[in-house]
Amino acid sequence: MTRSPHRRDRARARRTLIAWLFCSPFLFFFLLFGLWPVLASLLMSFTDITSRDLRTPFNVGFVGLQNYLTLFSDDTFVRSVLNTLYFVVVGIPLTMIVSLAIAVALNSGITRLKAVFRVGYFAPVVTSIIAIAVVWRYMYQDDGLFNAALAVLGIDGPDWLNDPAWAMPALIIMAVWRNFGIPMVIFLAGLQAIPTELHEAASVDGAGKWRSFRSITLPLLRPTTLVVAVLLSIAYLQFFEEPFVMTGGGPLDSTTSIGYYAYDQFGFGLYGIASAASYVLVLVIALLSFLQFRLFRSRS
Amino acid sequence: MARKTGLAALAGGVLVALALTGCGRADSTGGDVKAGAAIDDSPAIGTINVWAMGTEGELLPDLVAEFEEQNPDADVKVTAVPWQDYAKKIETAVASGSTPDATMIGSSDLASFVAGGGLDPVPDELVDDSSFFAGAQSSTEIDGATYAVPWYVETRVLFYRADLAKAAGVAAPTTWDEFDEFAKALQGEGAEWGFSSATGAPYTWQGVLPYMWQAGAQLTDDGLKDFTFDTPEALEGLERYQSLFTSGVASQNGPVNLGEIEPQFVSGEVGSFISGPWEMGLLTQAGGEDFLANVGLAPIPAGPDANTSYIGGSHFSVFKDAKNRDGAWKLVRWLSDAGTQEAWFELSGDLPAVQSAWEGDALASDPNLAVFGEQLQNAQNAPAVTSWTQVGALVDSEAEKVAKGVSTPEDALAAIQSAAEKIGTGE
Repeated sequence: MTRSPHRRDRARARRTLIAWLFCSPFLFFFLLFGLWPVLASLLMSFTDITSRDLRTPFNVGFVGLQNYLTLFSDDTFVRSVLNTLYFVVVGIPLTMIVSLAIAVALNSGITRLKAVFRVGYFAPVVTSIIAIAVVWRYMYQDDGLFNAALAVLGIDGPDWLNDPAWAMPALIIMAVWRNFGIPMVIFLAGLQAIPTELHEAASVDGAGKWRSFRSITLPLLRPTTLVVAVLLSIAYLQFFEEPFVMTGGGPLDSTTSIGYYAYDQFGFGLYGIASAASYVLVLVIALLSFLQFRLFRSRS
Repeated sequence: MARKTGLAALAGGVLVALALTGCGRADSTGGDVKAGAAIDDSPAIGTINVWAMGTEGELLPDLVAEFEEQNPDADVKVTAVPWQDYAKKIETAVASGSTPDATMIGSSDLASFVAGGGLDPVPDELVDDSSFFAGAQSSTEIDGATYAVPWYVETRVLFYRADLAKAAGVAAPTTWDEFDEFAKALQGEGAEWGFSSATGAPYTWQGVLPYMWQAGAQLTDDGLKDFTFDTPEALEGLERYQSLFTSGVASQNGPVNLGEIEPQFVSGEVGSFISGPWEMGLLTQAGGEDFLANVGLAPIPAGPDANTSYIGGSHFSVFKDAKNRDGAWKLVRWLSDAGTQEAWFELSGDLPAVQSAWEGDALASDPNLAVFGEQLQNAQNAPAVTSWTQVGALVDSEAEKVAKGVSTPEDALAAIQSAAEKIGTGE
C-alpha cells in the first residue's frame, strides 16, 4: 500500500468518470427515446390531453386520477380487463404445459430429425400474424376445418368467431399454437441442464418415469419455469394482434383486450385516457410478475 | 440504502410536480376561423410536397406531370403513404410542425384532423363550392369554416345477382317493401341470404346511418351543436336495419374484413349487398371477367323520405405549417378543375367530385357509372363533427347488439343518444 488514500480516491474518481463517458452514448439515446416517452405518457395520463392539443401539448389541464376513474366506470374497459385476465389465466398454463410436453418429447424420445421438429415447432412464432389470421379465420368458419374434424367425433362445433362464448377460446387456441415455440426452446435448455445421473439414480431406486419427472425434473426446472411464466405473462397481457386481425374486438366486445381498448382510444384522439389504460396494463404486468417471482421462488 | 431510495423518490416526485405545474389550459378565446390570404392566378413555383394514400398515391405522379407542364417552375413530389398508417403520420407531422405542403384525407376523417389544428382553411374564392356534389362539399365544412377541397367521391349502391333476379322474375327494388320481396325472391332462387350487411365490424355505421336518413332523420341540430339521435325517424331507420335480420333476409354474422363478401356473392350464397365502386375490381378478381355479366347495379331502395346513400371519398387539404402554401393551393385548385377530374377518372377509376366532369364522354357512356352518378345526387356523409370517430364506433357497437338480437332498437338508440351527448360534438 504505497499509494496514499487521497491518490486512491482520485484514481477511482477518474475511472468512474471514464466509465460514465463510455456509457454516455447509450444513456443519451436511452433517456431520450426510452425513458422520456415513458415519463411523458405517464404524465399524459394525469391530464385531459386530446388530439386537439397536438400543436400545444403543454396547454393541457391537470386532472389527477380522473382518467383512471373514468376508465373503471366504462363498461367496455372493465370488460376488456376481464377478457385480458381470462386470456392470461387460461392461455399461460396451457402454453406452458404444451411447450413443456413437447420439450420433454424432443429431449428424450425423438432422436432422429430433431432439427426438423425444432424448426417445425418454431415456425408459427415467426410467421406473419396477417397470414395466420387469414388461414385461421377460414378454418374457424362454421363449416370450416375445425368443425369438420369435430363432426367426425360426433360433436356439433360452435360458430367459433361469431359466438361470444367461443370467440375467446378460439383465440386462445390460436395463441397457444403460435407461441409455444419460444417457451419450448427455453424448457429444452432447462431440461438439458438437469444431470442425467439423477434420473439414473431414481430409476435404480425403482421410480417410474412419471414419478421421476414429478420429483426431479419439475423442481429443478423452477428457475426456467419462472422465466417462461414471466415472459409469457408480459406477452399475453399485451394481447392485441389476435383480436385486431381476427375479430375486431367482437363479437359483442368478447375479445376486446386492454391493448385493443387503448388502441381504440388513441384512434378517438383521447390520449389522456389511452395513456391511463396503458398504465393500468403496466401495473397489472408488474403485479403478475411480482406474484410469479414469489410463486416460483426456488427454495434452496 | 433506504435513505438513497427515499431521496430518489423525493426527487422524482418534485420533478413530476414541476412538470405538471408547467401544464395548464389557457382560456381559449375560440373566435371565428379566418381563411388565409387569397391565391392569385400566377403559375405555381417551387417544390410542392404532397402525401397520397393507396392506389392514388401510386397514380398521382402521372397526373401531376400535366400540372408541372403548365407550371414549369413547380416541382410536385408525391409520397405514397399506406392507408393504415396515414392518420398517425398526419398527427405526428402536425405535432412536430414539420408537415408536407398538402395531403389527401379520407372524407370521414377530416373532422378529427381539423381538431388537431394543423389544417389551413380553404382560401376564399379558390374553388366554386357549388361545383361539387352537395354531400361531398358539406363534409368539408367544419366549425363554420371549410378545410378541404373534395377530390374524388364514392357512394354506395345496391349490387345484386342479375341472373338470380331474372330467374325469379323480379326487377331491382325501389322502395323498402319492394326490397323485402326482392330479397326473398333471390332466396327462393337458391341464395342462402338475400342480402348481406355489416353487423358490428368497424364502419358498420356507414351501412346503418343511411336507413335513418332514408326515414328522414337528421342526426344533429342545424348548428351541429347537439346530436339528435332520439327521434322517431332515426328509430324507424334502426328498426328497418333490425328487420333485415329478424325477417331472415340477412345473416346476423356480417363480414368483418374486406374481401369476405365477394366470394360469397360469386358462389350465390349471398344475393345482394350494398357497397361502392371498388367492388367492380374485387368482383372481377373473385369471379373473373365473365362473372360481371351476372352483376346488376341499382340505386338503393328509398325509405319513407328518400333513397339517401352514404357518400365518401377523399379530399385535399393544405397544412398550416406548409412551406409552399401558395403552390399547394394552386395544385389543389388545378385538381378540382373539370378537365383534370375527367383525366383522373380515366387514370384511376375514381369518381369525380365535380358534377360537370360527369358530362364528359368517359363517364357518360358507362351504364354502371350512371347508377353511381344518379345515387350521388342523393347521398350524405356522417355529421361533420370532430368527435365523429368516437360516436361512429359507438353506433357500430350498438348496431351490433341490435343485429344480434341482444338489444332492441329503442334501447340501442337511447344508449347512442346518451353516450353521444356525453361525448359531445366538440363544437
